[in-house]
Amino acid sequence: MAMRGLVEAECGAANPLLQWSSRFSQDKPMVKRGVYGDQLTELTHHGTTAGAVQQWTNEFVADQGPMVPQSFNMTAILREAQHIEQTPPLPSSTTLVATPISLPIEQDAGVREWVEQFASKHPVNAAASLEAGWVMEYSQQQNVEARRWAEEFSMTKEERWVEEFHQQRERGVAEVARELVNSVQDPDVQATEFMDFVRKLGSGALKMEDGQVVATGDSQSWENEFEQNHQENFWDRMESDWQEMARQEQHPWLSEYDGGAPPTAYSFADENPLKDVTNPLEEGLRKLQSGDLPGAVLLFEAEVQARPQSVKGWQYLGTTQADNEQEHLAIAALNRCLELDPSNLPALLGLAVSYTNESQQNKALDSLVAWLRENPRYRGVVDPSMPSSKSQVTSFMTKEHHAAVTDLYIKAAQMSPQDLDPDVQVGLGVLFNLSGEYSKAVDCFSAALKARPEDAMLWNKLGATLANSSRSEEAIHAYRQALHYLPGFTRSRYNLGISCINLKAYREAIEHLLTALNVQRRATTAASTSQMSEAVWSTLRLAVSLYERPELIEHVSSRNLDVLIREFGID
Amino acid sequence: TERKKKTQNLIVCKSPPFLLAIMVTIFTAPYHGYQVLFSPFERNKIAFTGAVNYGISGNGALLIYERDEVGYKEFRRYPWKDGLFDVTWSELNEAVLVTASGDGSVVVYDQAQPNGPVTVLTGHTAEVSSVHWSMTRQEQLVVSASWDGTVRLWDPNAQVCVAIFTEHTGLVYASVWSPHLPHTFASVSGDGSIRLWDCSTPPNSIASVNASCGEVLSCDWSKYNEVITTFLMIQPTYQALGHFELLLHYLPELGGCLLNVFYLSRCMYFFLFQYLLFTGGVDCAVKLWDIRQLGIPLHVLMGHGQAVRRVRASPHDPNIIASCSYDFTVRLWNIGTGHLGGGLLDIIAHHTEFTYGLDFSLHDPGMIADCSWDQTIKLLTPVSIAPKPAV
Repeated sequence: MAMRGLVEAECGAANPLLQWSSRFSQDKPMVKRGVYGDQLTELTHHGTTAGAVQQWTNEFVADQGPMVPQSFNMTAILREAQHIEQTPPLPSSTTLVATPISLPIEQDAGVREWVEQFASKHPVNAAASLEAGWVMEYSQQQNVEARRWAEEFSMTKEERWVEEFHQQRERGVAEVARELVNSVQDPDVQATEFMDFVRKLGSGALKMEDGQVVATGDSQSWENEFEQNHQENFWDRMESDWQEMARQEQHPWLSEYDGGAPPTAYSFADENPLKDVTNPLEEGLRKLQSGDLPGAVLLFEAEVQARPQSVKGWQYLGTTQADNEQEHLAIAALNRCLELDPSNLPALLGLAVSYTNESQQNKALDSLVAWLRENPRYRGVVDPSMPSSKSQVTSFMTKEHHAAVTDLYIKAAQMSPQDLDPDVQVGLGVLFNLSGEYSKAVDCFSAALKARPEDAMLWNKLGATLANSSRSEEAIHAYRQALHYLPGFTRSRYNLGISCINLKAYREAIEHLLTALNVQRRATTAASTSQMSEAVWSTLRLAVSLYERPELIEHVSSRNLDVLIREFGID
Repeated sequence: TERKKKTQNLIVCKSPPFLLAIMVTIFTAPYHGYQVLFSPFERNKIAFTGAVNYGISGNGALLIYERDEVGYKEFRRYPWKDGLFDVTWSELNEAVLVTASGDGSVVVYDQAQPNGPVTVLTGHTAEVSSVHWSMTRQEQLVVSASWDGTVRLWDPNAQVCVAIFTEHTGLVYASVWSPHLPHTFASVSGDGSIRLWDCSTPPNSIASVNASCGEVLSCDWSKYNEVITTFLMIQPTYQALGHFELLLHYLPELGGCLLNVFYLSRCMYFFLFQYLLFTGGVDCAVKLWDIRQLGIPLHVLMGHGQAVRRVRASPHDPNIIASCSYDFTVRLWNIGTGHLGGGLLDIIAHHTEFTYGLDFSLHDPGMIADCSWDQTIKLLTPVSIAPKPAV
């Protein structure tokens, strides 16, 4: 019974009421700040400390029966419990189900005291729900500190006091201001201009008159404290230009998250000057070897337009478009390839990479699992009952799903520890990129590179992983290697541009991005711009704005590549 | 002086790896900022409302800034005799704005009329803390929340108050229309509750929950309309509450009953973004709620040192939300994964007074604006939500 603690206090044991009254008499800010709200302020006006304590004692003694449950807002807690209990219990379920109810009462006597003290207040509705809330919070977060509670109290009161400011505009403003100043403990908040203002209100240096605040005496104006920003125009100009550039065009980011839509069909280039080449597939592969990616793309498009069932054609079209920094087209092409031949391994791996770049993590995981399953070497590793998330429209993955797929790949890698299969390493690298474990991904790609030192795509992946883990200088080195082996590698040049921006080398970034665009454009006729990648243009806008050349932004908006090329001396 | 040194310490951007683009500062003296909002129609316009004397007393203004080749220029200035605490752009007419005033009126402005407001809608008996124009096409109403404890619906064309919702028992701090569910809006209040309302049914709430210990100061809906399967961040919350399985709640188009379809493994939870609501409150937490299951928050994002004043969901990335707080920071959260742990993506601390207003730009992805009682608006693009290299 609660009363026992009050009446039959043992020697040295904490008497709840005395504890609480001591808090009231000594710790004024705490008291004012707490839940007592209006009741307490009234009491401070009306009664002495002793009188108030007597009053509360009477109430405590009189109403202790039903008070405690009410203040715990038991109905809410019971509703929660029912809700929780509706789920069928698992054998492994712990006692946590009962926690919200049991913890505050039984487990921690300190909390119980504290809460009971609040429970013995007047039945203020707001206070009651507040306490119930605290109880819930405490039970849910067992490591909450008392200090946090104190801050919560203070913030509760901050809002209240500000509101009371507005409500008591015409009377007692100075007093309210003084109380607010006393109640705020946080040093950062105390240092703000707002608290200065409130202090002045409290001390009478400022007065409210007719709804206006009027300075009395020689108070200084706080506006003078704000430094005049001489750089304002400069910064404004920079940012404004950047924003100007970014408008009007359909930004790729805007459409990026249409997500969940069924895979779109591939859209071909408007004019394909290489349409009538005989045997476009071979020609395309030759161009790929020599490093002309946009040209290869056109040839592969010709191939699939002439022979729509050409699996190889779609596959190469997809992977080359990805390397050409046209991600959506790449995904469309690779999906088409897989429709024709679900076991096409390069397409699956390419899809995994593209989905990773688009943050469609579950689809990336599916592609990786499918790659293992379709691969004759590793087919045994995959459990046929592995759940595929293809049936849902997905974007995010679970840790468990990701860990499962990683395990599969590690098993596959362990199958041949002597000679690494670079593709498995690529798969692992992509997996670690998905989960953000970039250092492991770097290891995987480095291992793959040992087997294929001249693979530009691997160098690019390594570079991107390094850039994502903020190792931009090393990333640049990797990108340069990629470009050394494949000079027309648009994606790598784009990534190089991004890394240059991150290192604040804006001129170099612009040069790289312009080179990339130039390479893309050269493959087509001058009229058509469909080959140029949106992502590269938008990053170019960013770079030009950071470079502080406002007159160039106009050219970027109008896609005037010639002028920009002349300006920066790209051949 | 001591105070100045403190200011310098506060202007620290702690972001991995760094702040990408330039930060633009607009000075709004003598008005202390309460809300800043990008125009949904025009890329280069931004609206700002503020009040003198921190909003305690005195007048206020609606300022509209327009960006030209040189920088941000003040395009319109509409002073008002009381502080203006919130603003919303019309979804129909790019020149129209509605503001929330400290004298209890909802003031409608049209930029074509530079001399003053077009309409003043009175009815609230205390400060209006929030206004919002409906986001779905089924109605063109403005919802306003007020410290008199009521939420009102207004028709700005007919200039009448259409409905009054009185269920809240404390100050109502914010009310926001759902961008997807027609006729639906949510409101949060000093009585600690979140309430869902349907304006086509009689003016009582359709759902409510006691959200937290303390007042709830802000809410925002997710702007997305997708299904996602799993949610890395919500697992800890459910495990702590003993939910080792979670139910699939399916809200059919007709009716509205909840069906338990089947039990899933402990890590999977299906939900739809369109039912996702974010709130921020005095308990310093940003909470995610599924409005079909309001009993417990889906997840709680801790990190702010003081009460959270405003939350906003990104219109470009379904995972990104931003919150500003009395601890002078703006924090960006990724509810799918997080780099700093706890879903936190970035901490931006560049104001020296309470940060009150926050918005994502619709036209420039990754750009956010915030305004503060230090009489500045800052526009910036944090690198945490900027372009990433392609693998």
